[in-house]
Amino acid sequence: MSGSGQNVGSATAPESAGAPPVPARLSRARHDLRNPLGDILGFSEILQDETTDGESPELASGLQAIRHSAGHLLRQVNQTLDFETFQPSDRAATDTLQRSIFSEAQRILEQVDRLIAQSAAQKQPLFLEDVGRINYAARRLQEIAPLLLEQLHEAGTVPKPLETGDASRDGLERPCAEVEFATTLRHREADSQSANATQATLLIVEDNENNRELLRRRLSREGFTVATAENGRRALECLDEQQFDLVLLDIMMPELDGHAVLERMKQHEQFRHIPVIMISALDDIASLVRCIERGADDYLTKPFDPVLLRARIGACLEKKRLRDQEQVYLQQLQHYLKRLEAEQDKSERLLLNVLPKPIADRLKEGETGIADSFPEVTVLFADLVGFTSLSVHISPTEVVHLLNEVFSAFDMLAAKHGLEKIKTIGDAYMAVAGLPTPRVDHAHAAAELALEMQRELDQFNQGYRTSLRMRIGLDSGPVIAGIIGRNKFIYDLWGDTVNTSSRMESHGVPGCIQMTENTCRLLGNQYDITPRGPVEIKGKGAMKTYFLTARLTQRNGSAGAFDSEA
Amino acid sequence: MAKILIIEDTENNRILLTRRLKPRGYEVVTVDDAEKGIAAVNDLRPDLILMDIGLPGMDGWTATRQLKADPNTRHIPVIALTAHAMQGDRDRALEAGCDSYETKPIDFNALFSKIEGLIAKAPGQPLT
Repeated sequence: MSGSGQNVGSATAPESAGAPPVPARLSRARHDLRNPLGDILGFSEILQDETTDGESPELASGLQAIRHSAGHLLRQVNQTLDFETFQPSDRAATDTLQRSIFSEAQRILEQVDRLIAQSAAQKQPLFLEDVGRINYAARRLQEIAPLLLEQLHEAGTVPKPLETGDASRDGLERPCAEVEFATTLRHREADSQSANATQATLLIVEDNENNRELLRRRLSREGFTVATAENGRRALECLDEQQFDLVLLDIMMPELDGHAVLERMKQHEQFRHIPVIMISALDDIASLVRCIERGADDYLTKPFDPVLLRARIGACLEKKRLRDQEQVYLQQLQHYLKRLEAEQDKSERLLLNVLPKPIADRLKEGETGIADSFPEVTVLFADLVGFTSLSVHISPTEVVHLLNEVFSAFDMLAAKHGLEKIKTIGDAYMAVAGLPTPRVDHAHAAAELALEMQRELDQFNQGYRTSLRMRIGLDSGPVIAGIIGRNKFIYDLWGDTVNTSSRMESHGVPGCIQMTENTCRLLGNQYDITPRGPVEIKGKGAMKTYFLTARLTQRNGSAGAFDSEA
Repeated sequence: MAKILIIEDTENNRILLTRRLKPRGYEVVTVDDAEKGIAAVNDLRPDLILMDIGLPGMDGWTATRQLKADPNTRHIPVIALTAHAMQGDRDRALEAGCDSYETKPIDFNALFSKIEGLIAKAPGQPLT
């Protein structure tokens, strides 16, 4: 035998879950539980004996029910708190027993109420006394069981014995609030909810020291990190100092009550999202309602069922966890939205590289078969001469690089003058003035671009020591502009004007800008224009064409007095 | 009429035992601790003792040992009433000299038959 009972009075070991229970604790638990059960069984048996069958069947069945409950509990106590088989780590077993005790004792109490309510004949002093004893014993069980069972799981000294107390005359005294509050229950759920909850940090705000301490111990053993505050002011200080996942908040407190604390919390961005469970006395419902309206997440009334407390803490923490997760998702969402926007911008820019903005917009709107008719535009074709001979001396890559340089420069110039560059074909360059937005001075714009392109090429030649030359052709007139095809489409132009301007270029002279009469007419007398004799244009027969050499400036006055055919 | 001495510190249990035994025709005397009990034995000359084990002060085993050691009282059958709270209660009870034991909460039918059995076979009282 293991010297049972000799550990009484030993030094307090630090509380550690799972330490073997002092056998004396088990004995204490057995003793203190079996005593009231013995009373219940004993006195109900006596009453049964002393009541003749004929007298009252309800009495008989009531007593039988009481005996049944007590007998059931006794068996359970014996089974669970068995010296051989009891495991200190087996909280599930004591939980089950605790719940059983609570509910069976409740049944017994209800039976007692019924018995007392029955016919007057039963209300003899002795009967009431006995029933009173049964009642008291049942209450006693409910009071002491949780603490007794709780202590089975902790190390340390055996606690002071609970007062056994004598049965009062009618046994219907209310158990004192403190003892009730001392009921503790361990209810560790196997599911993930509790697994999440056990890392949480709780703040207990409660002015009664006993209650505070009991809550702290109980919740600590459940695996929570717990801090306590004895009043509202201190509670707010704690909140400032530390991060909490949940607050248990008593309503009635000195120096800032629960209402005030709740209000402050909800005003503060930092504390607003911490779940709050209010604790209050049962008759304080109005108060509780106010709290809920102010944003408390849940409430519990004293004395409260520890199972309920545990469940509600779990639920609130779960809620908070979900809320926190939601925040994380929202942030992630913001991040992705930003990236998406950036990507969309990129796509937009790419598209605008290919299409004029109004056309791009229309395409995005879902318009198909975009083909607009423009009555008045000037089309420019430019072709670089001497590129092919270049490729003899330098690598194809370098050739393309050079071409890129030139055409990039032309692109900037086209944009500068408000022309829409359409495409490049090999070493040919095509642009148009007067669309997508019509303009009256489209011919002038095209002329300016042509002249500046020549200057640009000169500079290029100087810089790169090349001797590239360029033919430029211009024509003015109507075109159809649009998109053809489904894949890899571009914004392109169709019409006679396009063909003619192309011919102007191909039938032109390197270093010169050749234009049709249409364009010449539009330019008026602001430019130095030299007529060229009729040129045989493929597909069009003989055409009068003109060379554009320069813009006439006012200073130059009459430079270039050749008449353009106006 | 056989006389039973009940040494039991809890009032409820005293009441229960008394109210169950009296209707069976026993004369019942109760005391609430072992010392009073031992003192009463000589005066009372009970036919049987119901000895609660979990007594304050002198415990039931010590009291039983004392009674069994005393030639005047050794013949009186002692039934230990143990809460069976501790391991080895049963063994200790028997080792202390108890003639029988009953665990609480008491199964009265079993108790009654034990009482009857023990009183029936008790040897005659020695002459004082």
